[in-house]
Amino acid sequence: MPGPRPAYSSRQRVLVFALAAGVPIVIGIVAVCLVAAWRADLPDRIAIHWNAAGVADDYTGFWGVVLPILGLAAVLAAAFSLSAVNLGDEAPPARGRLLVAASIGTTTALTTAIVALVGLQRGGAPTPGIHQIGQWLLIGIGFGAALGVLAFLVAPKSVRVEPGDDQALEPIELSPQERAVWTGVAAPSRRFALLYAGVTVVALGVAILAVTRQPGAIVVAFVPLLIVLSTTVLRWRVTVSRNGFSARGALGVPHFHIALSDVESARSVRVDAFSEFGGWGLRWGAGRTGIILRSGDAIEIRRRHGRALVVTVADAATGVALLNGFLARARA
Amino acid sequence: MLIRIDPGSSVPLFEQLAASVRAEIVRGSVVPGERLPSARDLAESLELNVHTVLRGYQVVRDEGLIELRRGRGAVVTDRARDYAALAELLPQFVAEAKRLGLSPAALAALIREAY
Repeated sequence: MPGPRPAYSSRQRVLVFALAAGVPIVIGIVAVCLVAAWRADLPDRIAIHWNAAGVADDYTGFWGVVLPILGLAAVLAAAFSLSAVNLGDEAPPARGRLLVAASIGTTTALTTAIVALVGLQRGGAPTPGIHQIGQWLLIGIGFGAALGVLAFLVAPKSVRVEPGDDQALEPIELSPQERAVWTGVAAPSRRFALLYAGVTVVALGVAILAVTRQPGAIVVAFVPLLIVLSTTVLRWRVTVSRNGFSARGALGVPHFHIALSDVESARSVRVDAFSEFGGWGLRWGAGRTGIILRSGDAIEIRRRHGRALVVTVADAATGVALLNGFLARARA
Repeated sequence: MLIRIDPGSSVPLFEQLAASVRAEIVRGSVVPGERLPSARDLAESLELNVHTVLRGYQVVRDEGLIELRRGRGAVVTDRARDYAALAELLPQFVAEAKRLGLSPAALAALIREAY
């Protein structure tokens, strides 16, 4: 296989770069022009921070507004456009478009909020309260979302090069009396496990807070249940044996079993959790059931009856090779 | 982790199982801290007696590659980490032996001699 090829043609890269970097910078420049036009009308001290009580407690001058606007646009434009232009050929088609949309959307939302914050203080108007800022932040997010969607539609799809799955087609050759089993553990990456632990702790904290403030029996029962349910689908024992394929959650349930006679075909695939299944865990996406704990190697099984099953697991190619070996022997 | 057992072979079943587990640990397909399938599950999949599987596991435990704990089953030890260099050498050994037309038994005898 040749080295990684860019996911975009050179013409597409120009368009992607113009959208992901050019548009945010133009937005930044327009915003700065607007603020500069207001300069004579602005107070010497522009409020930029509000305390918990909703009263302004930090101020800056003209340049303290202009430089952050430009800096924000430049940093977001650079970060998003570089990622979008340098997509690898295994990136899913939507990723480049998502990056372009995020670049334009984020810049629009934040810049709108900052410009509105300055605009509200023109002509000796009283310092705006926190609720006004909140309103404009929401308006900014609305603007950003709308432009982001538009950008997503305009941005080109990247080309996805399917990895060669010929390795999966090579079944393990089994003699008639030979016995074999392959097992693997499907578990999330360390980074995701940490993130998950963090979210769990926060959820517990919120629950405890809610309980101490007002007794809420539902929360007390609900959060531990949610934690148990999500933990059991975070670690799976995956087995290929003479009985076919099985994937079993950490606590023994849920249990997916596909008898050898029900297997239409098996191959090893690369899965992108977010774009193909919308996230992690036990998922349903585009005709396939997914046990998706990370992006990467996965076993995909097409069934004679019922939905295809995809399980992300390390060393998936070996599992597929053995399953195909059993199939070949059964059909011989 | 791939385990293959040939009932027609003259090598005892528990030794075949131990050889598979050992090879997979050295290959790195199971990593330190990872739990191996339960003896009961393996016995069912491989049509073996549970005691045969446990005997195979004990061989690998005696070599220090796994730990057997009541209730936790078989867990790959940290020692398995040090086998990466060996795992790289092994295919070279085998390739060279094959090139010379040596049987596996002859290669094993050579290694035993060198010890």
